[in-house]
Amino acid sequence: MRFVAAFTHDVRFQFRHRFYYAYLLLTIIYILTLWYIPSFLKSDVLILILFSDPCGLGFFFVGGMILLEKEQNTYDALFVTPITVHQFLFARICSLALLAISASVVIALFAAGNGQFSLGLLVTAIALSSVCFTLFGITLAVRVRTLNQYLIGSVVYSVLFIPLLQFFGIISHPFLSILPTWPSLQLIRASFGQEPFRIDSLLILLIWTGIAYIWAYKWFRHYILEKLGD
Amino acid sequence: MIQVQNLRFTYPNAQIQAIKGVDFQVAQGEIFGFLGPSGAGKSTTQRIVIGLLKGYQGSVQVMGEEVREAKSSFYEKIGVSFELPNLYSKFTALENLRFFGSLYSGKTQDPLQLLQRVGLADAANQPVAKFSKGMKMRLNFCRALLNNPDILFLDEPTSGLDPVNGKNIKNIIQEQQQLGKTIFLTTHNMTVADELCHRVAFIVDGQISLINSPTNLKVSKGEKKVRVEYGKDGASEEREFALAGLADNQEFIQLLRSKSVQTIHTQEATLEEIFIAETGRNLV
Repeated sequence: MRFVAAFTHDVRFQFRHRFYYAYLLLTIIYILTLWYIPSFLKSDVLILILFSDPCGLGFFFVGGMILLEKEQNTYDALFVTPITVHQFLFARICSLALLAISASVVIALFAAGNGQFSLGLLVTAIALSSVCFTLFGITLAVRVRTLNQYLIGSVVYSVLFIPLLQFFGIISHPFLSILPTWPSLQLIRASFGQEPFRIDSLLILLIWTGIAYIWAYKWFRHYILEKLGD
Repeated sequence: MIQVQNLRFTYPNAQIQAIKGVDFQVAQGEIFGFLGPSGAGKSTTQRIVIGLLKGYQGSVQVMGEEVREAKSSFYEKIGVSFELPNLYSKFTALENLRFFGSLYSGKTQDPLQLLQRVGLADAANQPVAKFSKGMKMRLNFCRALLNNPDILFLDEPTSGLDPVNGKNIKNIIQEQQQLGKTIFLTTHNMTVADELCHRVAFIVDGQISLINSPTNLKVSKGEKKVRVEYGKDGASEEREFALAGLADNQEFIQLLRSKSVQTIHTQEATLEEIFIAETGRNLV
């Protein structure tokens, strides 16, 4: 029940702070972009948009949420109730994943059409990517106080996006395949039948999500909980 | 209700202990004041007692439970209000209280009644962003009472409040105490501590230098004299008399009979004077 309360509250918080409107606007821009670009570019751009949606936006939206909550000191009130950090993190990653999945499915339906992709695989890829990058966003957001600090800090995390260069065929190295963005890209492409589904991609992304969860949990406890009331 | 024995704590990567062997007990139904300047260890001690900092040495038992091992259910029984407003600004007062109330598994108090009690009923449906600091502080206080806690931890509960609302909050704290609730009050405000607390502890540099009731402290540390201020030829004059044997002091009685007495005060020390004398610090 506590998870449900926290999840519902997160969705309402995102509504009140106009996250849903921002997402709606972006989704419309994405759909129009896909509508007007030349058809030979369409499939690659669609994959990139679907990839950037959960990963990039998950990372920055969770940063925005945590900075707003820090500004309002709401953790001082929240973590002196019976809610646990696990329940809080689950509610947060689920609420942002819901937003990412909804937008991605709408974009995919408009750009590719119904029946042109595996819904189950796309939802899995988007959900896992969203959760993984939302958690990475949390590890940064708990340490900073301003948007500027967050943007500067995010440069360090951009190393995770180097596999995009492999996607564009600029560089290629086996090491890049074990960074979380590569399996994310592979799973999204597999959902459109552009390459076969690979279980190792799923496993690598799951492992990264596990690592990001433990990291986010420990740093949330250290940088937020142990400093309540400061 | 709270038993702290030989509490020591060092923050990770810190060279110096933040808490250096603190001992105190708080009984059920007691209002216990924890006083000290910034950086003295008040907040660290409070964070340990409410179960947020687990890596301490010594023993901290709250309602018979070692807080190091406390689970989330521990927070069903305590209410905490920190010094700064901490509410969701895009949500109304009522929405805030309903959300926080939904996180408890036990029965919670009616948010509207709580708002009414602190004079915020008319603002129940206003977003918190439109509240003044004083209104936010009163709402903070309501939130701490939501789960009808056995122990209330209040950090500067009257900070930012006008005298009328400050008095109202103090009355509610006393009502809670009369209901058998235990109150752990952290404050810089000596007047609040003096008015409300059964006992106060002075903490400086991570150590408690003194624990006693405000009345005992004021009497034992003050001068045992009474000062009489009276009018004479249009001006004010004053005289001091020893408290011992005052009833038989003919000069004192004569002065009361013959002069126009303006004030009579015993010369007990104020809590602030005692704090400065005991710790060598100001309460800033």
